[in-house]
Amino acid sequence: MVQPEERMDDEAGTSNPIAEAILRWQRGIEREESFRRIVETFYPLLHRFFLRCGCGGEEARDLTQETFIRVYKGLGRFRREARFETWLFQIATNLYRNALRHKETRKRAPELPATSLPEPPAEAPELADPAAEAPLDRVLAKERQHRLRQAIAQLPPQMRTTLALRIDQELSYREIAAVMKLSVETVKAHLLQARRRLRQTLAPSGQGPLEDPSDETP
Amino acid sequence: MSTTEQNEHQLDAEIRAALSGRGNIDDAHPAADTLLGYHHGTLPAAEEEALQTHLAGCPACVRLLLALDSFSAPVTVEEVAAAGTREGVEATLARLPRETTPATAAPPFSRSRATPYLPLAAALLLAALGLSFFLFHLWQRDAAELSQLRDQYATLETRLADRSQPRTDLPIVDLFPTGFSRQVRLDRPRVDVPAAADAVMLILAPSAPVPGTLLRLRLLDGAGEERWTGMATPNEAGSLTVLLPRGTLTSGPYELQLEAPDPTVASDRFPFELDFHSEP
Repeated sequence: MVQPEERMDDEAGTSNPIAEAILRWQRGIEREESFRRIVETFYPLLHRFFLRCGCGGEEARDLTQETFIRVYKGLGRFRREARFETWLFQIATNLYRNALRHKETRKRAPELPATSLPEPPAEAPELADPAAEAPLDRVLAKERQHRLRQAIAQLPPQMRTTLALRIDQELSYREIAAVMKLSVETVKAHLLQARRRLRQTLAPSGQGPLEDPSDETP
Repeated sequence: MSTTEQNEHQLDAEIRAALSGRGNIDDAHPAADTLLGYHHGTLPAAEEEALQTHLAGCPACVRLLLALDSFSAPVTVEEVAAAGTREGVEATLARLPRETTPATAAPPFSRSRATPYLPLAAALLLAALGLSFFLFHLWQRDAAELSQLRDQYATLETRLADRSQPRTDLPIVDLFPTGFSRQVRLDRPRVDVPAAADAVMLILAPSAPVPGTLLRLRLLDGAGEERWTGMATPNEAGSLTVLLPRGTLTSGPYELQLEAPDPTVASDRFPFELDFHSEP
């Protein structure tokens, strides 16, 4: 087991091999060997981090290597009183976000020139799809969604975030609990309460709330 | 699927649709430090609530936050192997930027890398040679100037030493014959003076000497032209020593006149003759 959780507050670096490696690198002593030690220690940890961020194997490997290249370029300016792991996380976070942004850009970019694509119908979807719902139904659906949005906005912040993490991001109860710093039971209670309130909002006037399932499936 | 489950899915779908219209918040990601602070529970309550609101619409930050646990969890041997650590480390080290590679790790000198530096080395050599010639020239010129300055300095030093020493060879014009009473004056004594002498010393005695009285001295040449004036005081013995600067004095008759402050006292006159001649 590798334990990278060691503080870098020992200037001499005698008790912390990473601190010692950084110190030696910054002083120009056996730099290649010192940096190899840093990479060997943190490579699997960073690789796992990127995998857990949702990267594929190849992408995780590339981002891991890129992180170390950034570390190499900035190690001369690294202040040893700071925590190396924190700095490493900052670099990895920036690289991950850059990669996401790059992917989003590629996703938005058209595969073919726009002129080669047929223009979609701008209005009157009922003409394009005869089976589409009637205008009255569409108005009612819009009204229903408007009421739902208002009801979601009126939920307590923690409950609203829990709901979004569950339904929009499809996290498990355990993940929501970790993100929100709550117990799994509290997460379940929040979701139950949120759904109950939203059902009441959507229930037609004069009727009771929609059927309320008593349990959640993780 | 039961009716309950259908209702459940329908509600979730509607909630999902409602949540999806909240706009894009990708441009307002919290800093990595903020995520770390949230993870460690050190954020103020207001910032924590704001971050939770952001997390509700930002799957990327949620993933980062969930993955943050992996930074503090130990890595197992299996994970080390699964990550391809050995190959990954080598590949990473191979990708390090060459320009920042420390000198100690620089590759050994090779012919292919040496070739581009040959013109530079030749230019440096030529520049070094040129600089050497220039410095040598400067050194030579300075040496000559230094030698000249040393000569001038030696001359000045000699002259200074010469002037600093007491002049034992000063020509003395004693207007009284040696061994005679000072009251008896010589009649226009003639004195040989070396042409190189800087001064002539006169020894005389006033007729009515008043020790301590300041007397005015005037030197007249044979044509009666005043050549020098000065002041002097007789000593306790009543005699007077006058140092005449060589100045423009030439060979010929002279007369030194002593005038007392008291106008009733007659002036003393001491005629003598100087004969400047070159030393053999």
